[in-house]
Amino acid sequence: MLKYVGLRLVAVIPVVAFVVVAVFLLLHLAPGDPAALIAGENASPQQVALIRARLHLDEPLLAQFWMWLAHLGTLDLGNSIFSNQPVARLIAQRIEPTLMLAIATTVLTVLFAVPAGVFAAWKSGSTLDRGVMLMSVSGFSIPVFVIGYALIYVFAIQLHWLPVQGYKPLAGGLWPCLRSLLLPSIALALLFSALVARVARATVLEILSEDYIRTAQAKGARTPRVLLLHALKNAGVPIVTVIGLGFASLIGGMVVTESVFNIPGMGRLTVDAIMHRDYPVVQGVMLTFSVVLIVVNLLVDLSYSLFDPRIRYRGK
Amino acid sequence: MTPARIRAVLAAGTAAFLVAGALSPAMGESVLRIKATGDLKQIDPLWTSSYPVRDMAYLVWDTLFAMDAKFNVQPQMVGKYEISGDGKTYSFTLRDGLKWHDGKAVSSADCIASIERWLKKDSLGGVMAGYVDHFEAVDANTFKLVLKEPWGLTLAALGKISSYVPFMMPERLAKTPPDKDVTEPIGSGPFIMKIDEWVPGSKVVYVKNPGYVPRAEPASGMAGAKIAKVDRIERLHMPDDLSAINALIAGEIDYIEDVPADMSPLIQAQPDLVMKARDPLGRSTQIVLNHTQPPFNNVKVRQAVQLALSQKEFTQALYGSRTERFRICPAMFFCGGPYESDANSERVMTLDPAKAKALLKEAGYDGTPITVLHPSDLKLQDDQCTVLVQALRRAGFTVDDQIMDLATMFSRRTNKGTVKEGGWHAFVTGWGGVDLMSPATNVYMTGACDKAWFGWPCDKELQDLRAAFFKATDEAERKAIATKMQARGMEIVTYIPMSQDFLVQAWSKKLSGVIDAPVSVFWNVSKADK
Repeated sequence: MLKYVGLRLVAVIPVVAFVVVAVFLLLHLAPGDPAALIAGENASPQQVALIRARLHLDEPLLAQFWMWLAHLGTLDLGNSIFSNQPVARLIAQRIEPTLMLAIATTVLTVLFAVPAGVFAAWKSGSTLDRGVMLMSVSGFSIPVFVIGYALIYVFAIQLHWLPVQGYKPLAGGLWPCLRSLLLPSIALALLFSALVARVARATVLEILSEDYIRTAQAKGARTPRVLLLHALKNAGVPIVTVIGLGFASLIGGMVVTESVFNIPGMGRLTVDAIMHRDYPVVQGVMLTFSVVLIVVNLLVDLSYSLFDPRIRYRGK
Repeated sequence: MTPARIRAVLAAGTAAFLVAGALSPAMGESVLRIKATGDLKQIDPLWTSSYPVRDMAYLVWDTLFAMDAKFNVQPQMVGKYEISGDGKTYSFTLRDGLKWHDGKAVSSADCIASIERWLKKDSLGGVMAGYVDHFEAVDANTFKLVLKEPWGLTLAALGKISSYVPFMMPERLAKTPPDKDVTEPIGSGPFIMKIDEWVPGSKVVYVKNPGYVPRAEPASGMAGAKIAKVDRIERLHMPDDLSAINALIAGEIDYIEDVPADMSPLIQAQPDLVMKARDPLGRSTQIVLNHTQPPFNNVKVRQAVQLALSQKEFTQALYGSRTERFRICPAMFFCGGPYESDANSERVMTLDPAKAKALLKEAGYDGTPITVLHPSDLKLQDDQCTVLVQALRRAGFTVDDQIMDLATMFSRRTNKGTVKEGGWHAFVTGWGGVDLMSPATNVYMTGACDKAWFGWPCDKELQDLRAAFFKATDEAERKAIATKMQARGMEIVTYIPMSQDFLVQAWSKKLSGVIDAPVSVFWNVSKADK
């Protein structure tokens, strides 16, 4: 097992290297001049040229790449060319709200979507099943910002139960933090649940027609035991895969939700950095995303053995 | 995990919570929360022309002189000053008790170094540098500025409001080379920036400077007493306007710097909110033409663009019937400013596509496509470009409407080459009134060819008029020259002014003391508990 994990981590190196080169080239070959953006809309051409030289943006692409790589070799992601703040600091400031929102969303999704999918499969064709599927289609169809505005209107403006916007750091207390995340995580969970509930329903439905389920029922096993121990456990692999991939995509893909609820997360940092051609920040963020994605994938792979004892990992 | 280890983890967690609690705003502290117009991405006000940086800088740094609400220059950090009989020597004595945020006293050496850095960075500073002979520190609080010849704009330059303001900094920061930016926000202003709490793209925090000694005169424009009446200011960057308005209605924030026109009714419906334009000049939109590229190297083609556009049509497309949001204005130096004029503005104020077509024919326009740089990521600029493109086509121009993001537009407009080489013909931009209201700071009116602002108008007559403006010794003479400059600017079409519009702001009625000023400043503002 440890050898397998080690080999998987070693295999990460070429993937990350590819991401690093691809992101660098894509960014630098795209039109747009960060020096002009730093100087501001009303700067003169001379002021823009001065900043361009200061940031080495007038040097050949290869020279700029080596410079960045040399920094990366010392585990230094560099500084933002706008704020001059270390990229690692900027990411550290943004990672907590994003992780907390992703965790809250995933917990809500698992608590709601997995039971909903299992019950829908169990009562396939019933009103309950149709209700779950209606919710699933709605979750996919309604844009997350519409759900967000509706939640804000009802729970923040009319009822005054929850805040309109903002993120309260975990260090300020668990409850204020969760309270600030409740509306955005519900908005995201409605979308995420749509996917997880469908996958759970389809997988459990297929498993419920297996011989060993019929055998369990024939042996007098009670329905909860059949559903949870026999059906859901065997449906775990695809469900966990979807949840894992969804969690990874939540880390970088919540920019609309972060904007509507004014949460200073990684999504906003990424979009902002791309719009401003803040090369070191985009490169640092992409590097972080690729590492997160790889780690989540690894954890998902390792979790398979919990659901299916036949799956064993050996390093080869 | 052993029970002992669990206890250790719990104890560490509790300690972290307590420490974090101590770091959050203290109980009873008055906090002003502002939804800012733009994000603060740098600190150095001489490194960028960005208005959010300038606005932040006014809270942190102070100036020797400042303009009051009537645009008259008043002493600010300077206590008393004298001008020699020959008009060449200015003697400045600093007010007593001025201190930097690190506790050290403000000195003559600090101010001399700050002015010297500004002379190298700002275009008006560059003009003034030509007049400066030398500086002389008389003692810790008094210094002299000695000119080669009298220059009537000396105090106005030191008190300018527009981008690249001559803020005073400690000597060690002011000695930062011109090609490097200042990264420490150490000033002597009424608020201290908390750099450890700065989250670029999200939040900037300022706290009251307990050591600030305000002037005795009441606050007026950028001059007078700058009294910090709240303990803490949190300037938030909120990308979603509707969320910001909801937050203002819910009382989570106190102030919005820019209420979009279509969302005004949401604010008007709230009895506990105030909505007003604080900046008496506002800002304006300009159509910039590239004088170096055909067909706009022909003045008749440029004049045809003046006739093709209508300020009324342009602004109504953006603001509809909300007339409080804009003002039709024929002045290149802004309506409401000291050099307002309507000289030679007939073409700009007249919509006449037929006459534009006739001018194009007379100029021999061959249908060369006009490349318009059209950024789509800012709604206002996107709408303005759409109106411009439609108006040009109506007047007989062939238009290549190139949609792009702002970063690409900023990069592309620096290109002086042909369109094939990545060049351009026209773009739309905007400046604040404080930048354009004077020939000294209006970047379009230099006529300086290669050294001019984008579009690169090249005109000897305009250059001579601007030089005469700087040499003029009294305000009446300067006003007469400014009128001639406008007439010339309209003739050669240095740019096309498209009305003035006003940044409408909204705030809670809990706030009092909000002053009218061209910059969003928050001294003098207090917040009631309930």
